Amino acid sequence: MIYAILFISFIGVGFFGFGGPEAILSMLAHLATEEHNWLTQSQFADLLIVSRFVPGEASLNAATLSGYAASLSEYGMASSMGASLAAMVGLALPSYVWAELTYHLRIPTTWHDGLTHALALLKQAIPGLIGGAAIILASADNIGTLQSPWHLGISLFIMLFVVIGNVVFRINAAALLFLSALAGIMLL
Amino acid sequence: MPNKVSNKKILATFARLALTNLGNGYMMIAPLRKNVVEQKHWLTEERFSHLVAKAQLIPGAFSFNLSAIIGRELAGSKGAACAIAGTGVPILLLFSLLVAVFSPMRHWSLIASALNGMRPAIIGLLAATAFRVGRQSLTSPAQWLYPISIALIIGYGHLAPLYVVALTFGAGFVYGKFVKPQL
Repeated sequence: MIYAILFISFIGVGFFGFGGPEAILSMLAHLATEEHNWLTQSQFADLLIVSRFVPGEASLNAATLSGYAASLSEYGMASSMGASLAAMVGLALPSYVWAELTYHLRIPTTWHDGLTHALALLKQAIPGLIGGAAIILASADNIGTLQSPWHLGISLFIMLFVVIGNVVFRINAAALLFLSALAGIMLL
Repeated sequence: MPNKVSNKKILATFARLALTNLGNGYMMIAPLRKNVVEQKHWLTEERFSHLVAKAQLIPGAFSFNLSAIIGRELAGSKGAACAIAGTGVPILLLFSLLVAVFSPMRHWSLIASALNGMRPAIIGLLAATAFRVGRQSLTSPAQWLYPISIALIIGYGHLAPLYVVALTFGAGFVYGKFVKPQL
């Protein structure tokens, strides 16, 4: 059953995941941490951190990890590989179908105005999708709560530091993650 | 275009590329171009750029999109399937192994502290990306209200982003095709 749920859920991500590698993360974060309890927010955040340093796009690794975590507790290690595969095939299938469709079909000229507007509106929504993923992940287990003011304070400082460092001073992501890890080791 | 490239070669090409590339799917474009355009001459430069643009337009995981589109072009439907398998299978195996080995290590005190520092950083990086992407497509401050409200609805309203995408796409399409011509 979990195989079917994973397969169908990831098909949905593949078919509707407009907007590039970052925008698709909001769909995956919502799916894995809110709609289903496959992953905790901190597991998802760790996934994004690790995916920056190992082969494989974050969305592919998210499919692997979701399958693994969703079935591990109930069915054990052997079945979790199958669950990862089900999620991965679900994510890949729409790409295959889209490739076939776009190879064979020509878009009717009467659709052009509609598609142009749809894509323009989607393009403006993409920052919202990425921001939505950031808000989903800004949960108690990732940044702390008011009951743990030290953890929360350091987290907010790191977030602010990273945003300003990346946007204003154009420090690259790997360097910012490295500095944050050092801050975490010393302060948290 | 004749089927000139064998499926085995496609599988091997994409598998090797998948395992030697870090980061998000866009990082795959440059090495893939070098491989299939400059070294193997399977595609011309123009054709390759056209296919990359197409892969960016369709929804889904970008590395799968790119694999499927290039594979389709090189060797038909089977080529697309081989390219997808070449990208997906090694990543599935490698990441499964990483998860199995490293999951217990998340709770070691030194690694746990480092992760506690990096988790807010990765959230900050997402926010920074949102801002940089928005700066390119949004011109006036008022236009920011639209993505900001979407972020709040997804983040705090827990609405599935899939519905947001479907609604946005549907609304834009209906407006462009039916409403605007009447105005």
